Amino acid sequence: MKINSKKIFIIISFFILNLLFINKVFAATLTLDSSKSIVGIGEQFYVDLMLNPEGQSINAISGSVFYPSENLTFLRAEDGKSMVNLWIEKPRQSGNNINFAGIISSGFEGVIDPFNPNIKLPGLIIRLVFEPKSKGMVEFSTSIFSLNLHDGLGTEISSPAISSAVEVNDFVHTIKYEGEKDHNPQIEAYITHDPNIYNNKYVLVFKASDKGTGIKSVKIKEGRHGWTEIESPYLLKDQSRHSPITLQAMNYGGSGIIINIDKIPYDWGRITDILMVIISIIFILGLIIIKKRHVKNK
Amino acid sequence: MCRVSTFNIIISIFFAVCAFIPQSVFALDIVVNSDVTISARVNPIGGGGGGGGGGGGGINIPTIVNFSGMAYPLSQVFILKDGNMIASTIADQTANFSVSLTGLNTNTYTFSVYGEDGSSRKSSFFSFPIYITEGTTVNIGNIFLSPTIDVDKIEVKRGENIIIFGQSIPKNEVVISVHSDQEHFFRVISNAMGAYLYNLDTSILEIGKHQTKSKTTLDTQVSLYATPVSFNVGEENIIKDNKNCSLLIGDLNCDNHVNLIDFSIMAYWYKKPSPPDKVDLNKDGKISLVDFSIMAFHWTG
Repeated sequence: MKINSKKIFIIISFFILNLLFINKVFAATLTLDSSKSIVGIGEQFYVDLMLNPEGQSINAISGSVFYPSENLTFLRAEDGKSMVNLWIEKPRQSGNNINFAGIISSGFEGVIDPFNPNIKLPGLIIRLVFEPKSKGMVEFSTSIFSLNLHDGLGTEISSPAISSAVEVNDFVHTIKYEGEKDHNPQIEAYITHDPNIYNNKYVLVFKASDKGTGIKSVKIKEGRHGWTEIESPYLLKDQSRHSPITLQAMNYGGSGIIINIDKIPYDWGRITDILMVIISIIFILGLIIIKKRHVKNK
Repeated sequence: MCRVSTFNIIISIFFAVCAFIPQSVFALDIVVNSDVTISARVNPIGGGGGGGGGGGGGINIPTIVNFSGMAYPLSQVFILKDGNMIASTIADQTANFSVSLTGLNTNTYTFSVYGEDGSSRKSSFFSFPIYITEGTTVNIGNIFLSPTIDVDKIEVKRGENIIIFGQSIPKNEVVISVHSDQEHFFRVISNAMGAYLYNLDTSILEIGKHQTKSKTTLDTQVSLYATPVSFNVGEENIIKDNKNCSLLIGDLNCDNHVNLIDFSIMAYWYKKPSPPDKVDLNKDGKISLVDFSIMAFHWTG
């Protein structure tokens, strides 16, 4: 009944290799692509997190990118060219991490080049812009990525952690990376209320986008209140909706867009009716008082 | 002898497992419409857009993206760009439609195309990200939208009939698939307006939940499958109420769209305790990436 240990070893090795092979062939892969492999101190560069769905259709992704903050200053995350069209968690720095989660509402199977439609290209998830501050080999790494298939069930798959390195030399280069600045932001906004959000109070929901560098900030001005940076969904301060609302979206290139959202006008007809009732009451009371005085004087 | 047989058993199990793993873990019903044609050409300076003339200034080479395909006779066809609706058109009597977009800059755009029949039933989405270069004309043709599909009951008493219906291209065969454990196929011809209807005797189906979907073919072209519709085979007949907004998965505010407002409602509950049942699409008691993924699948913009 004994089985040769050599055979067992072959079986197990073959099994492991087979699993590895399966993963490589079928799982979606992510890569970190740096704009430069060698940079000087002060020379800004970017690292692109790219998604290759490998034949699958992906509609949600979350993960983290880690960077050495002792060597690098994180400047911003550009999402203008991202395949992700709605962020659940906008890419944001937290210590040495940049965390993000978002959806691709139509699913992503790879970018089509219309001049060569048979090949599907990887798509950008985020572009991270850094500035080196000290010499050394800097390594970027990631968490394991959570991905969901565009199958109507939200089937979860994962993609392994990845890493990439950039060498920072001790020569000083003050080169700025500014991205594509010749794009104008766009903003889509609605005021709504629903029992499932903020207890049915008026809420502003919006999506600001920019096909270049991405959106830096969205600010609101409500009536007499000053400009405040906000995120969607935003609970309006004036629930009467009589205050004028102005929204401003700015991209990293310095371009902006301002939109005004109509307020609910006062119902002057109703106010006039109320005033007429009050005036009538005062008039009647006045008449009664005058009449009483007149009777007293008699 | 015994040694060899045990070894053979292990090897057999191993290969069986290896053969099984790729299908169970990775095999997916990814909708690919291989008939769609995509082509591009660089527009000549001063050509492509037609008209104009006069004036001075820089060279303006138009950028055009043309969409064409088949939906249903006189149905509405919508084009989304990066999840936002940017154009719509009406298909002609023969179900053909075409839409042109202009004024795009060089960039990657995700376009989605879907059709809506006269009863606001939607086809499945045809979506693709594409790299557009300024000064080119990109033609995306042969888009063959799925039929729409619906059922008249959400629960049918076993042995009684359920009506499966929808709209497709006119006077053509529609293949209806009904499956739970075993898949059944039924064929029906659509009328001149593309409407089709099949009266299914449910005595062939097991008690429990079932799904139905449909597709159509024209010559060598095959449409996408419609997004499946569910129904139960059980003890009683329950008529489907199409005014109930829960029929469109992800439509949290009942406006017949799955869009930014619904996304914002879900985002409000992300990682918060005790989300409303309506928002928690997979009913696991929390709002996670899975719920957003389900919503994204049903996105209408």
